[in-house]
Amino acid sequence: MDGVSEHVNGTVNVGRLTRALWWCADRYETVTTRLIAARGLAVLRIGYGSLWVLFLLREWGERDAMWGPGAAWSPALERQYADATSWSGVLRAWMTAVAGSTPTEFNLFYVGAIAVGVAFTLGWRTRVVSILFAAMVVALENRSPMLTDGGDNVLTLMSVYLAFTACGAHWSLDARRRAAKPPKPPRTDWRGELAEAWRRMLTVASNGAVLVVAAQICVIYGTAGFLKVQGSMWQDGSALGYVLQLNWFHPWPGLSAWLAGHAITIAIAGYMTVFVQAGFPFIVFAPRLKYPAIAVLVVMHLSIAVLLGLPFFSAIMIVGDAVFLPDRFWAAAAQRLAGPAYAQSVHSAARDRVARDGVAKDGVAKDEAAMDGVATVRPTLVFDGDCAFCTASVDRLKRWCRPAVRFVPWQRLELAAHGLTEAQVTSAVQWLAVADDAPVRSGAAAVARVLLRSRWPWRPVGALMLVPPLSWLAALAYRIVAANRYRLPGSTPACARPAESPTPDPDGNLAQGLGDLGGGADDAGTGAGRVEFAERDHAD
Amino acid sequence: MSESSTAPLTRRWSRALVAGTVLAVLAVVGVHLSATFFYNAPTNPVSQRYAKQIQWWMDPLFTQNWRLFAPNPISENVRVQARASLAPDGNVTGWIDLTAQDEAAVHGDPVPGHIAENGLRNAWFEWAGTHDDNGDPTTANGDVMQQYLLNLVIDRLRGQVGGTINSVQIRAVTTLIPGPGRTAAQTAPQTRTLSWWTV
Repeated sequence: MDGVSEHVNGTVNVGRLTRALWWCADRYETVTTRLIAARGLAVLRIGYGSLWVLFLLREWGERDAMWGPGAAWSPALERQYADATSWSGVLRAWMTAVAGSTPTEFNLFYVGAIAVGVAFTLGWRTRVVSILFAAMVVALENRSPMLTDGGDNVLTLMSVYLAFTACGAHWSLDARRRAAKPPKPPRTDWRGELAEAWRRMLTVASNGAVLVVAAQICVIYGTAGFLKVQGSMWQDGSALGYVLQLNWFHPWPGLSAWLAGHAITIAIAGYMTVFVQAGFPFIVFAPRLKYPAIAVLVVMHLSIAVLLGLPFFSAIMIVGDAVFLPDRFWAAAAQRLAGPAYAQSVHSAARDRVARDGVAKDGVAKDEAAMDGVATVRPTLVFDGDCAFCTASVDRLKRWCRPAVRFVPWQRLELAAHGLTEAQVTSAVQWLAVADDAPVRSGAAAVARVLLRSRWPWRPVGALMLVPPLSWLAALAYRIVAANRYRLPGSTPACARPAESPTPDPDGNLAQGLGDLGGGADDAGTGAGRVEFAERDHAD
Repeated sequence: MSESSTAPLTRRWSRALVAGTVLAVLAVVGVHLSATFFYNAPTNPVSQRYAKQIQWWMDPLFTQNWRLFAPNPISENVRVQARASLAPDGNVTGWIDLTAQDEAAVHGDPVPGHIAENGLRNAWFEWAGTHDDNGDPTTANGDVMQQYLLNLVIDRLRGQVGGTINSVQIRAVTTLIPGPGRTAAQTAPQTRTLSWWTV
């Protein structure tokens, strides 16, 4: 019935055809203008680059015996071996290049390979360096083909694929440099057109390479899985028991023997390995299965790393799985890692304000001014704005820790409204929690609360600073610094504290400190009666 | 490179350039993925018919082997041992267990090195895979593998025996790991002793 109506009603078909064409056009636009898995590629770049550097450093003492002129796989053997292959031309010359080097040349090459690995990891001039990286990996890994294992194989493949990608688009020195450069006005002549076409061509190449990377990983798991399905030892669940008793992959004999004694665990782990590996090429298309499968593979490789003593192989496989995690996952992970990003929140607050008031106030988006009147509720640190040392310290705190905290000099605050006295604010920084009834904290306890709202790794530092006896030490250190701040570099006479300074500091109170650890969410919840600031428009 | 391009392409040649790139990338990716699949798949009519082309495409940049622990994992332990005949009077040293030295190097090391883990193991299995029971090479690479195994063993022995090495003898003691359906007789060590190799 449905089929008939489709054929009778021509407009339905035309509608579908149009939709299909639109879909194709949309896809075409996507693959030519958008970098797919751009952050996943950055993870691959950083992962493989750093693993390469660590690997070379690990083998530093053995470098000659492995790949140098004194290697057991001697230069003569390498030539003989190459003669028996179909290698030719530039490729052959490059594959055998390391074998022909003198000791000095070899050492230079080795150091160069480490340097290229570092540059690749950092994402410096990534387009060129990624090609160099692939060349280095290929040359060295083929110098002694009989020394390599699966990890070397995957690393070689991935380094070649990555050379075609835009793996420096994120989290790289290149990205930082691009962000710092003012945007150029687009050119409308043929050169601008060519630049745009070139950008799209590179995007297409990168997206093609991403597909190859993903497919390659599916081939690895799929091949390994389907081969295992045919193996009688994987079928009867005994395979991993044998693997655990291989003398070459046996760094912790006691642990391996203990595990090998658990036949049930061995069988379940073996079946799980086979199912996930053989199913991986299909599972990646099922979002709900994909994440558990990747989790299983990560656990499997971590076990391989420890039990079989193959950390590099395992890490290389785990890094490869990164390409299957979507960009928004990596973006969220990065944001998590970067913390609340004070600067970012200030910018968005300033934007909100401009949007509301319609005009940007003479472009001076001073942090505190920008924050005023914005609905975002956040805790406040009150510091001494006359003291250059204090101001510089606050600036440093903002830059390094990026806390989601508002910093206000006490001079711009109506102290009485917050239950503060001038004696308090000139003797130590004060912490105003969002909740009205929360007690005011000062000194080290206030700094700890700033750190708790900062990016990693400052949060645990802040937490530790609230736990006795560390909290006592922190309070002591704070008092010493505060008492001597006029003597410290960058200080001005204004930094000197008034003579008497009782510090009503309730720090060291663990229960209260931890009660505050809950942080932002609770504070925001009670934020209805949030702190009000008087006198905040400055006339400049 | 920015994450997304904003400027639209307005000229015909630039659009053709991008479209051409899309087609070229599709073609290369298609060829590479097909070659990768048939390179890894079990022997079949396609991989036989296009064996040469596949080899040309995959070797040496994209060679791969995912047979570690598959179809069945290795279920035997091989201990490679060697002894040397020294110049000038032909004194023969005792058997030196090189595998035991590898094991000692790996034990307790969270990041074992490639030489201890892969050196002798790969060299032995490559030699065994390229030679018949009489020790005669069965493939073109047989001589290379024999020389490699010899180099490796000499390098290892040189520091451990006093004097100049004239020739070496290698033996492999293979023990099946006990498991379901394996009798005690089967899991007894089997020794294969090779002939003396002159250095």
